[in-house]
Amino acid sequence: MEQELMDFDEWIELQQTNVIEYHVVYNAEGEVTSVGPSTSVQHHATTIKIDDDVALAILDGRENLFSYRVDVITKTLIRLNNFATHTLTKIDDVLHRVIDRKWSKISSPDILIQHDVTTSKLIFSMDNKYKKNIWEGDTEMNFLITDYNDPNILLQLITFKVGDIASSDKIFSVDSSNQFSVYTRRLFDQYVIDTL
Amino acid sequence: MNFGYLIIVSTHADIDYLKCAYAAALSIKNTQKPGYDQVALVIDNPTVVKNLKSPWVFDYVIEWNKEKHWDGRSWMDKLSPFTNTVCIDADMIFLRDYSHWIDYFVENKDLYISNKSFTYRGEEISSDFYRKAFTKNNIPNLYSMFTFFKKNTEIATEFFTLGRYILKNPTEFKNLYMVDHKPKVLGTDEAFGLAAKILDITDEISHNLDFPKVVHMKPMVQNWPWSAEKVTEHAGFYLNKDGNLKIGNYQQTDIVHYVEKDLITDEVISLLEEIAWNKN
Repeated sequence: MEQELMDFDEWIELQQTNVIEYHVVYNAEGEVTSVGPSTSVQHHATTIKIDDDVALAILDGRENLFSYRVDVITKTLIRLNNFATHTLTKIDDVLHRVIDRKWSKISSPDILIQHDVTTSKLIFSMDNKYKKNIWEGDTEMNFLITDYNDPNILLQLITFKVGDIASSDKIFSVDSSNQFSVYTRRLFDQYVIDTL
Repeated sequence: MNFGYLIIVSTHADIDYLKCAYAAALSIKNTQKPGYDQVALVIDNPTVVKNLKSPWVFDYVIEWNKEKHWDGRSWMDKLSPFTNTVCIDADMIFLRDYSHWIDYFVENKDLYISNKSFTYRGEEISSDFYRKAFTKNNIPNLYSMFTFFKKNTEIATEFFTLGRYILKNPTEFKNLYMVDHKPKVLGTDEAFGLAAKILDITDEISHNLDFPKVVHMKPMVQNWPWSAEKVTEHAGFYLNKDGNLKIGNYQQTDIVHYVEKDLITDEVISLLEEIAWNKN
């Protein structure tokens, strides 16, 4: 007996409307326990829809499931960051000079350092796009205040945890009687120093 | 004494050779004493020189467009406005007074070409990683990046004429003299080495001296136990406000052939300009 084929126009319309939605399953603490198409996780009580990019990255192994959690109250997916967003392989990564805004083409840096010359303060702030993440762990940001363009001459060392700067700007006093440079371990891609 | 440095550049799609030449000229003005600090620039488009903040660092700007890129350097004897000339590469920076080297050459030589270079740690480079065509074919290991000559002397005229002829006929000379290792490109260094060998003047124009000392920042000859694409992947380039340069934690005092053209940022130019303005 011959099988009757579906009308092509109906079939193509069905294909186009059959969009896969991805969901994560989470427990009472907000820990993500699995991810998959909505049809495969619909029997779980606590799921939320997530972006395709995130879901595919997890399913492909490019991202770790445990890098995310769900804020149970707002029912939103949050990325946890306790590691570098930048690989540390070259000297410019482990001892990265924070470039002056005057010489930089970076418009919105990940980390901005403002140098208030009148009060001799350095104000460290993180770009808003990273602030919504939860920064866990003990990952430290280290900033070496050195002679101008010479990290061999260390004047001051400033250290704080990544999570500290995510919640609020960090302010430190610095001796600004002579011009100095700031070097750092490059956890983020783009750093800029701005003189006020 | 009439002496000066000659830098030959041409327009390149990706590399700003004028910026490199400008940095070199600024560093010469900043470090060499009067009489030893003249700079002539040969360029295919001299109008762009006027856009520099301090075009006066070039005492002569000579328009010339007969050759592209490094091949132009073989015309140095024809192009130089000086009686005594050192032709250098554009991507070199001067860090202290080297006038005593020049005094020796002017007094003793009609033509001299450097035959060694050094790592940023001051070790003499022995690796032939980039120079297998020289070692395999027994060609004198000459570096055209520092070439001294007296204008219109017999030996210089003969040498540069042959050098130009070799560059115009690379295949023939590769087939004749470089059979054991043919380089893809026969450059000025190879042409000068071949010319010295054919004319049998190597001992006269490139005998062993303690100078000139040029640090060559090609990555695979730095005596590192690892491979590298750039020196600055492993050692930083730190030029301070006094024009002193450290590479990694090594203070540099000799001429530095930095190779990586993007090291000459607008900030580096600004530093060199400020020193030049304060000096003059």
